[in-house]
Amino acid sequence: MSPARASWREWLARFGLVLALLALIAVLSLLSDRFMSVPNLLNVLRQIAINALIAFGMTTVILGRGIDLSVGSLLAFVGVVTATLAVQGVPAWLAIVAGLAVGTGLGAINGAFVAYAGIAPFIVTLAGLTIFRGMALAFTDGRPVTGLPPLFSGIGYGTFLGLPMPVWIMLAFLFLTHFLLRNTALGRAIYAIGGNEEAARLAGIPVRRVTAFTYAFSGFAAALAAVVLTGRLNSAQPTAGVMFELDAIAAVVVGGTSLFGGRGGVFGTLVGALIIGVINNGMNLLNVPSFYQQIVKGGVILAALLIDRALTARRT
Amino acid sequence: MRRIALVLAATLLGAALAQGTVGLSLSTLNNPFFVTLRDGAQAAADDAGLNLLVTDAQDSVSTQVSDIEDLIIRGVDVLIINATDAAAVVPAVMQANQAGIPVIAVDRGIDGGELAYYVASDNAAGGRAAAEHICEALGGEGDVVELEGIPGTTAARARGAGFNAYLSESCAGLTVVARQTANFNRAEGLSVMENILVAQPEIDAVFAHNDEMALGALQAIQASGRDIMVVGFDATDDARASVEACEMEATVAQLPDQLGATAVELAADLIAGEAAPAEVENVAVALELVTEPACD
Amino acid sequence: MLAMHDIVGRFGGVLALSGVDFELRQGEVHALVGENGAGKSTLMKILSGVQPPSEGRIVLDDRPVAFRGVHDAQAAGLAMVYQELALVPHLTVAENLFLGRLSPWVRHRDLAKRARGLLAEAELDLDPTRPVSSLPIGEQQLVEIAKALGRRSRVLILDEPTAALSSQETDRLFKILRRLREGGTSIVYISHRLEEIFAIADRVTVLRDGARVATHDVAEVDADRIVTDMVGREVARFHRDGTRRDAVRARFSYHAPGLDAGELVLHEGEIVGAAGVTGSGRSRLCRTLFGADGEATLDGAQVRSPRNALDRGVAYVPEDRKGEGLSLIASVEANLGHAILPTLARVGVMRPGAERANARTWIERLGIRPPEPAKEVGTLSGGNQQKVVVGKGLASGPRVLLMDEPTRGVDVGARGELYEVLDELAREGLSLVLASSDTDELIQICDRILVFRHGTVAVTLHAPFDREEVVAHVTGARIVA
Repeated sequence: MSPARASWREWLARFGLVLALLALIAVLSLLSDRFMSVPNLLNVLRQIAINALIAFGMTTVILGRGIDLSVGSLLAFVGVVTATLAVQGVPAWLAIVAGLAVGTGLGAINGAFVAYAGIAPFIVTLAGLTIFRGMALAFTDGRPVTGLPPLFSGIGYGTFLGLPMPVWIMLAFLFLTHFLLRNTALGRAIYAIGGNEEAARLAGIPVRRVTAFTYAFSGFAAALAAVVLTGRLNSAQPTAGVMFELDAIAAVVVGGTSLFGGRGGVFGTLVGALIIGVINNGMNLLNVPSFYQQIVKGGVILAALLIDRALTARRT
Repeated sequence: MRRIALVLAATLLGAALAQGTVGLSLSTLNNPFFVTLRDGAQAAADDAGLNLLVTDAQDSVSTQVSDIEDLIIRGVDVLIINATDAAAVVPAVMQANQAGIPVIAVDRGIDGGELAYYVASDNAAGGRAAAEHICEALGGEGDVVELEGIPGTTAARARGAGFNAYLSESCAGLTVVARQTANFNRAEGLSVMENILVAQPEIDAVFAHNDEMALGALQAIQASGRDIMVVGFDATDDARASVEACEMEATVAQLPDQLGATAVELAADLIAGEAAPAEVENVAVALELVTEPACD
Repeated sequence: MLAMHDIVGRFGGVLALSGVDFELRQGEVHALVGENGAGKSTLMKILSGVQPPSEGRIVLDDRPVAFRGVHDAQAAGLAMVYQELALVPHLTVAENLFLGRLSPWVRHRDLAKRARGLLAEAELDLDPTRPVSSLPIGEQQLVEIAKALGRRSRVLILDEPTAALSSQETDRLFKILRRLREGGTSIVYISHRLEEIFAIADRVTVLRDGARVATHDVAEVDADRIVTDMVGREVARFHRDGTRRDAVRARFSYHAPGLDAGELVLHEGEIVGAAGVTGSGRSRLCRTLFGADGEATLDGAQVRSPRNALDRGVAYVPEDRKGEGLSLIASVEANLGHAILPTLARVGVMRPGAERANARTWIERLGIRPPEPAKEVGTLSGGNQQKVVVGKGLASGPRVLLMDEPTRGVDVGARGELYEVLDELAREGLSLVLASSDTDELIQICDRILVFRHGTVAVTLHAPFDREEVVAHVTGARIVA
């Protein structure tokens, strides 16, 4: 194989997903003249921020060959706890810090059950999904929490250098997670465990501690998303985040991270979240009837994956 | 363990014998509307001196079926069901029929079995009321967005049908420029409305099939700086507060506490010995449009 | 009976085979040898229908054939037994034997009965209702062979079938193969172990760099000639002068399930062999000393975990490189760094270039090919993968290196390179424990051999060794009181 062709193929393999996204954007630009406008693109970025934040945390868990189904419920619980504290007079920043701590702690409990008690991640976090939802409902008696201090709407709607705050938070967390995964010993350990847990153990990597960490990190990510969502809605719902776990997993998988662990990264996840976000936005712009939206969404996700596979499969 | 269970059973049985027990199987408590419905039912039960057993199916059909079976076994005198799905609970209703327990459907209808009463607010009438209000407020002309509920649900169908029927019959000057689902969810109401705001330069009013979506849409509209009238449905506490603050234009009040209370009162009558009607009797609970006249 | 003419295999621009002829007669065992990357596996993949040839033709019984897939080849009576086991661990032996040919309605009693017949034919004393995962790896290999027998194949292709077998299991396999040959079955036998070729094969074809070098009658050729054909030059058998010095480097005590309590004192520069049949305790010894099994102490203090062992200068190269040694989907450099993550990082953050530098060191020292740190390990040949596992252990700078079957599935050339590195390390003072089922290997490089039987050290032998004596002790032919 000539070097030029080799690099061309590697490039395709690496950016096939981005091409799929660009193709989607091109199609939507043709169908709707409103799509390619700055306000709309900012719109899309702001809307995907919440899913992307959760999905970045989910990426670390999946890279370590786990899964976290509890994120949507955890988000709801952290949201109502943070909002309630803020409404009851705790300084807003302190309420947010407390909420992030609660989310990290609940994630760590998930992680402890998976890593130290040896229960399957699917089961542990499925239990978390119902338990955290129940906690959120019990905490608020099923009612939304409103009347938040202005810091929250600042997080939800403020802008800095022309970009919405949720986008800044998403980008900051993207780079943080990327740095964690690529440039720290902990990140290497996560990939090592996802690639071969037994080999990692025999290489002296503290497999349990690292595994537990990924769930705590996912809990932190969901809590961060909870703060952003609370800001966006200027209120906290105990019913928020239903099915968010599936959107996050979809973003991770569409973004090229292997469900079997050890392969992938957060930039792919960002592209995955963008693809899903662009589809949702495009369907609203085109006024696609509700019954067909679900079909279109699933179909486009499959098509994006097919394009990616077709481009990457050529490698020998 | 066994002894505790026996004592518990005896206590429950005692309570049932003493006062009469009503079972209330709710589709979900994951929604303030049903929480309020439960509160109304509880208040009515307390007034009538009845014991009320409430179960929460968390929107799962199978959970609800087992909930109902449990309530039958626990020996309730009347069963009030707020169905997750009109068809799927039919077998459970038939079990209750066989056990001789009268069944009252509340809020959502049930497709089979023998029902004594169907207590519901008239969703279609609510949709019409919203359309009428928007039509008057806009002077019979303008562009409207409709935010739909979860596709296929009875409430989404009826509210949309009433709303659109009124527009086509009595207010031809209003055009629905966008009709999108936001799944009865506030976060989705926000993002879907943001997208519609990009797509549609002219919007005068939004009708949302529930308040959660309406409040989400309101959030998007306020952020965009545009002036658009928002009408919701359900009159949750949040929505009422928003109407009072002159943010939302109006909300259609289903009276969930009335639904709960009416169902329990009918149950009390049945326990007191009143004969159940031979055919299911529809009991319509009033709806009201909540507005704030001081805002204009 | 079967002939392949001018076979060319080209994959993604890489020429794996450049016009190879191969001929197989009815009722012969035809050995196929060559170093890793010589094209053996590719040739057999083409023969068994896994890949179509880019050019060339295959003639079966004087008729040209074209296999469009494994199924076609199987229908024509060709069956392949892979080096990497293709068994489903959670299914029973019987279910695995008939996998792919199960009727939709599985009648277990019936299946077990048929399986018993097949196992008896292969002289395998196994309970067909046991899950495959509960069998030792050597017996799993025999199940794999029985599976191919069950297809009534006329041509059986065996790729390194004895890699995981003890010498007794190997003898049993050879007995089966000889009987099959008498029955008219033709066998293609791929192996790195020359002594096996002399024991079982009628003819041998040598491949080098994608081309056929020669085909010999085994009766008319010697081992040196085959090795010369394989590597293209004369190779001296590895010879090592002992490097053991008197200073004690490590004092272990150990016990584990299946391994009786014992002590092991390692001297500076000493290479200690652990011999014995599969399950005798030789592998268990390495795992136990590393803190991954049972209990061990090092210099009086308990070895608490693999991390603890590494921190105290003990590294381990596991037997099963895919299951325990490597993350196949990760890069060479990532794998080489896995055991030393704490030293590659400063306050948890990877030092820029440290991982790459570590990788370059070991790629060069061990001759890992291709010498590309970013290459995915799974794409390397078996021998080079094994070098990565060894490098991963050595990267931690140990004083004691425990190795379990480090040359399994590694070709002659790479094996010689590895021996040289081990010798060099011993000269630098490293103490090695080498558990191996390959007697020649132990004789060539060890200073001392511990022969394990039934979980205990039956006898300790010192260099220079008498080959027959070692084999006699290992096989239990000579019981020392």
